[in-house]
Amino acid sequence: MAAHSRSSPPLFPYYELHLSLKYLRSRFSSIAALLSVTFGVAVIWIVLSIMGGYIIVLRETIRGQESHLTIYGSAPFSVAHILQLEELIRSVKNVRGTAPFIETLAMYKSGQLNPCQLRGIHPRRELEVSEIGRYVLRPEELERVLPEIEATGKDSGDGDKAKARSPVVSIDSILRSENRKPLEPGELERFFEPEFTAKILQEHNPRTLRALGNTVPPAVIVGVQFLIERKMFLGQVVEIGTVKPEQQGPMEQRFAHESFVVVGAFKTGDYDFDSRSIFVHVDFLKNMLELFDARSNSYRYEGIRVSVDDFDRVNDTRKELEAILLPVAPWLRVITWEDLKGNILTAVLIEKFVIYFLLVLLMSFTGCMVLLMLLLTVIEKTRDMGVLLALGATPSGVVRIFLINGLLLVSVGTLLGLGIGYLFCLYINPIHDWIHSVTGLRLFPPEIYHMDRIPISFQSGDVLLSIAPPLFLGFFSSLIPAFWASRRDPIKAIHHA
Amino acid sequence: MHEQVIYSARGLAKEYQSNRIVISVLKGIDLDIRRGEILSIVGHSGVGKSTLLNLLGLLDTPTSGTLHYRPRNVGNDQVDLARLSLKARARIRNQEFGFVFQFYHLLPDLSLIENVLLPAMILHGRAAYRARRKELEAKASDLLDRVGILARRDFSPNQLSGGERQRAAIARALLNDPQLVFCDEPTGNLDSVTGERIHNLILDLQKTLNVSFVLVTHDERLARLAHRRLLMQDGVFVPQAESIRSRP
Ligand SMILES: Nc1ncnc2c1ncn2[C@@H]1O[C@H](COP(=O)(O)OP(=O)(O)O)[C@@H](O)[C@H]1O
Ligand SMILES: [Mg+2]
Repeated sequence: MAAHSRSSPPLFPYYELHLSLKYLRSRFSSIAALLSVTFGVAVIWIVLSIMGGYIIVLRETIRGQESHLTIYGSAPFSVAHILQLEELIRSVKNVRGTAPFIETLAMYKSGQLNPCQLRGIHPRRELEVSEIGRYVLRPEELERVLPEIEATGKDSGDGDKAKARSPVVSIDSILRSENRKPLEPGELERFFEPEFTAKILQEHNPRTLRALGNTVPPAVIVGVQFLIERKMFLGQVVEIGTVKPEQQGPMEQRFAHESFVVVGAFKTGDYDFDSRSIFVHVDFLKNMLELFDARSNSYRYEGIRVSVDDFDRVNDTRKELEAILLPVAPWLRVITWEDLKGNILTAVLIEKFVIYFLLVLLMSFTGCMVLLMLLLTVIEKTRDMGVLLALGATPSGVVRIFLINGLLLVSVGTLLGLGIGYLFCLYINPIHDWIHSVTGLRLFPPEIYHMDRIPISFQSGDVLLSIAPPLFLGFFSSLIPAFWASRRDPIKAIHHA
Repeated sequence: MHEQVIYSARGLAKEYQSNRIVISVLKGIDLDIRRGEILSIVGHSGVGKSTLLNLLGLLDTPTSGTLHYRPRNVGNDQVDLARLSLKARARIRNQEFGFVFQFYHLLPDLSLIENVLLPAMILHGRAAYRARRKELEAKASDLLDRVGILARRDFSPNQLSGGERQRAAIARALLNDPQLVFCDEPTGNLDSVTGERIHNLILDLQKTLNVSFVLVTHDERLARLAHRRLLMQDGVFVPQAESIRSRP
């Protein structure tokens, strides 16, 4: 008789969740709706993670190539008095290092003439201002991957470009291994010593060494894509030609060309950079281009790269540099790397949110799935509702069955989506390689995206962005059928078949 | 013992409005239900029998008229049902009343025993239900045994015959020990032999459990089982049709 006491009704009667689960499990349409939520969440999360990873890697590669700050003159090759300028720059606090550089377009001969970017660096000082120590391969590292590089490029006629471009995986594992230390200044300088060049020639091109006699040509370190695409090989003597910037007289007299020996390789991961850039010693390049300026009695450079200790304060440092440099040399410009490449980052960031917005719009499709599925359940279960009411359920309790139904569906779908998205992101590169091996398609061509692995970055903000739309949509998609259910007349349904 | 009136309706009227037309279905029904009796209500189809059961069973509200109910164990006070909240009415449906329908209306997503347990799932919260699960399941099994389909306890309703489903529906109506069971044409969808069994079952339960039954029926034989029989015509009971019989 205890059942007849006037206790207050339970807050969460057993039947609500119980029936909700039964309804969910017994229907194909609810599985379809759940999968559409799962799919939507997974897609949003994967896309956001890839875009996030892409932005981070892009930022890192750009920061690796461009130094924190760069000082340019008003025209190419116009920064003279380099020693005094560097001294001034280094007096500014937060400045860590400086290095002068010269860059010029050039042509190299490999069968035909091909364009390249000749980058004159000061090896010892360049290490202080850029990430070059992280992406130049040590001689023994290069020897280790050389067989693989040769194998990759083997049958690469012009017809099989995709294959020639396929990434050499072990270079990445060497360069990105945790315990690899960047090159020491001495190590980078050694590349440009004649003894080292002779050694490389000895090992890889002995016949040419004999023909050359005693003098060896200057050394160059080339992007790894030159080797992979078989435009060059280690120990090769390449002719590189360019134009001297300031000389009177007809064009053909301005042409300057030299032979160089390929003594090393680097890989930044930026395909464009790796297939076009050639490092040469700045002291050699300045003479080749005849950049000595009699008036100032000094060499003229392209500019000075500057690194800072605290990157977050780079804009303050820029202001201080301007304050100290402009009074003596008003034609100089101080530029941060984000000035140079920042709009790329902004563009990618905007792209990320445009895509996100589109995906959320698509997600409303999922909302409709949930809505339809719940409406179907309500129609199908109107009589059940009448029975439940007759057995003592309250109208709000009956409505809650459908609300719980929708919310369970959406939250389980969302969790599943996050899980699947996470797994997919973890294995995205093997999956991508597999697709490539099966179909020959490269969905993420390295030459377009400046990187050869699909980068992933998991960010907590992205999780929120991924789960907010389905939860929001799911909530409203559940409310509507639930309230619709409460307005139907379940009592009518129980007196008819 | 079935002299005490547990439920009395006075001047019950029900109008339905569809578009502008008002249909007056019930036009002043007076009715007393006594403890432990079987009362049958007969009448032509569409006369308003189901409508009356909905009103008595608190599934619908009358246009006018009063309903007074004497719950089983709250002293001897009569409750004016019109004054109760939605929740309190649901409470009475759950604990004081049972319902049996012509089309059984077992939930197809639940097993037979779960269907019988449904009134308890509604009565109890999750924790309380879990705590008392064994006891409740024993009770439900006992009821299934009484109606003769214990062997089918874990079947789906779809696997049962009409008669078996109706037995399960009766077991469900009895789970929370109601005082009053409303049956709307309980044998209307069954063949005569199966219907006969249901009749005997109702008689048996009424005797052993001391539950009152209100039977709406077309079935003359079922109507004859009742202690009292009311004929409905034109929205009212026709007085001479009320025949008081001794217990069968
Ligand atoms: N919700 C409703 N709206 C309008 N008319 C209704 C409604 N329910 C029942 N009716 C009408 O009331 C009358 C009585 O119906 P009902 O009580 O089901 O009859 P019975 O059960 O005696 O066959 C019928 O004419 C029916 O059309
Ligand atoms: Mg009827």
